[in-house]
Amino acid sequence: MGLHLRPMSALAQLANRFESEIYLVRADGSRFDCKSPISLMGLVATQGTELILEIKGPDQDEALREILALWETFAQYDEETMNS
Amino acid sequence: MEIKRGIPVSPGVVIGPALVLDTEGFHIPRRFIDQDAVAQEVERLRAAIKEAARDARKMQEEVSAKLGKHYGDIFGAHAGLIEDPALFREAERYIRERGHSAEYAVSLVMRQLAKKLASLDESHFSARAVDIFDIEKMILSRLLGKKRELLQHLKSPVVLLAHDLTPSETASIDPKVVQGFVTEAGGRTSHSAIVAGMLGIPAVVGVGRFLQDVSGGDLVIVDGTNGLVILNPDEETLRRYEQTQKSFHTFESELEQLRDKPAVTKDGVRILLFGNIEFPSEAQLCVERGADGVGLYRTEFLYIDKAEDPTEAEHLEAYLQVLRAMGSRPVVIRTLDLGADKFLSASDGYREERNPFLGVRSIRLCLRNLPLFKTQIRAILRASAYGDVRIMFPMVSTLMELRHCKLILNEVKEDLAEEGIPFNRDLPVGTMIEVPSAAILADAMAREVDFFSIGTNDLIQYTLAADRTNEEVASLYSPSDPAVLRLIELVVGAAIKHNIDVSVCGEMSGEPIYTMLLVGMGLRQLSVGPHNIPEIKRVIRSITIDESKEVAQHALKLETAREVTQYLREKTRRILPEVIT
Repeated sequence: MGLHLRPMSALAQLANRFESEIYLVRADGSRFDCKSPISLMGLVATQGTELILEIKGPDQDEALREILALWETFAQYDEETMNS
Repeated sequence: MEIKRGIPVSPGVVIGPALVLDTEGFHIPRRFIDQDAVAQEVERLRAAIKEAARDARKMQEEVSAKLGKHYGDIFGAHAGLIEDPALFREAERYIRERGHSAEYAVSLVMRQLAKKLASLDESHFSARAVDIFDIEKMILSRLLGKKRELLQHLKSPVVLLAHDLTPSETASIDPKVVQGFVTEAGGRTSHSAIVAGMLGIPAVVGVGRFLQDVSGGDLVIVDGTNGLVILNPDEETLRRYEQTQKSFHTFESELEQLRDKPAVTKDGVRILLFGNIEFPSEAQLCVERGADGVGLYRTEFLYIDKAEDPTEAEHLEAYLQVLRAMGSRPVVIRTLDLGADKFLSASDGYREERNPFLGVRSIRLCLRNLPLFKTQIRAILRASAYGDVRIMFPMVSTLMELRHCKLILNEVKEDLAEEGIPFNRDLPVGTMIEVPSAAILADAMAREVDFFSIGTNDLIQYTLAADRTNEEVASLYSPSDPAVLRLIELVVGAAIKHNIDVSVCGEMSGEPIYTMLLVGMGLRQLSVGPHNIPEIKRVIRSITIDESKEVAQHALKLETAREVTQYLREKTRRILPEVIT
């Protein structure tokens, strides 16, 4: 139904504002380009999956900060949907 | 004749010719291009992607306006996917390296993506697949030079059968043409189910594979009430369903005609019929259905899904929006009624409670969090300068709590007066009666407020100590329980004695079998869900006070919930057989 689409596209939109390369890496080694919503579509991460956020580039610190903040709002959203 | 079973998601019956929506959707005319046309083909692809993204953004606006931002944002995400450079790059590669047409290249890329996602073999896939098909269709329709306007261009009524409907398909459904739909996939909370409910067309989802058994034009019956789909019905079944359909229609249209008529009993007693709302936009629904006001404006939506507590301005805007819709009609605003577990986290010092329903919730939470409480009260007071606003406190269980609330209300009034901000100094103050202790003490409570509103949902749950969402004990939960009826009688008696207003705002008041009972017990105000307004109005217009009193007197003598329910059903059936299902 596309509910998962929204966080995905929010992440891609944010990532595209930075020059740095931004990837999510799963334990099995597969890499997902955060600037590509299509790449993110293939990311299956159920709760408890460990993901590594890889950021490299001139604005990496700022990118890290903002992406973590966005992540925080996803987590909240998840909790609320589960509670309601 | 063949009968399929699915999940009923939108009630009603529709009979009509089948329109089977092809999952493939498009026929791709050519696969290869000439070598010297490659550059031109890549340009065509680039332009189509740009236009398709624009289409998606336009759809986002339209759908946001029609169904809300949350839903519209799906199309915003679609636009992002369409514009993903990876998509263009892949398709471009097929054009340049293999000489494929842009259409075929896009189709290949999308199929590969779908396959890759399917191989992840995960329950989310099917949900994502419809989005992939959707964006594929959007790009292809631009490439093929015409939009896929199948659904918009239909002239005669059909019943839509599909494996699943993409968000853009459901959004383009015109309920006058697509009179019902059935999907193989989907569940109660899938977007197609939600849209069917909004459009008010019968729908059944989650039927499982059946499209291979249907041809376009076959006669189909969709029974959205019972979740049945009947393919090529026999004569007898068809006649039976035509009958059902007819009575459903007459009933609905009769209800519509009631809109502008007052809720008055046959012997001329006016009953005020209010609407319960959860979101500001529902105020319009109340007006359309001829409500006398808003009897319960729940304000929890302001707090849920928010990173921070709502500001005074946000409260005020939400209240003014309802006041604008309601004009001079009264609007009862209920202060925050949430459990602490719903919106506080450990970082706020919240500790998990073993019994949240018997713990810090609702007014108890507000009284422990005065800044939060005062912000809301300030906004309610400020709104009172612009219309007939009334304030109501939920879950009050002792007189001290009520006095505490009033004290705070007075403090806020003084603040506003000092600041010179206008408000209604005589703002009516009410309390919900939803805890048995408050019902038992109604006589004392009535001296301290301007009105009561009986919240039967919680009153029943607390009186019978039964959580109705717990299947093991749900059967104990009944508005008909004699203990509940006696508490209501007590509350109404106290209100009449002290000459204050009293209404019932639980789900009980929206069920037609209780209307006579409640009116007979002395209630002259009921607050019901906006959708129940016409039906309850119709019951009110069909009864007299005398017969209602008789019904109430008799019902109060019965000893079990079962007997009461049976008696009330029988009495209501005699007056209005259509409302009893």
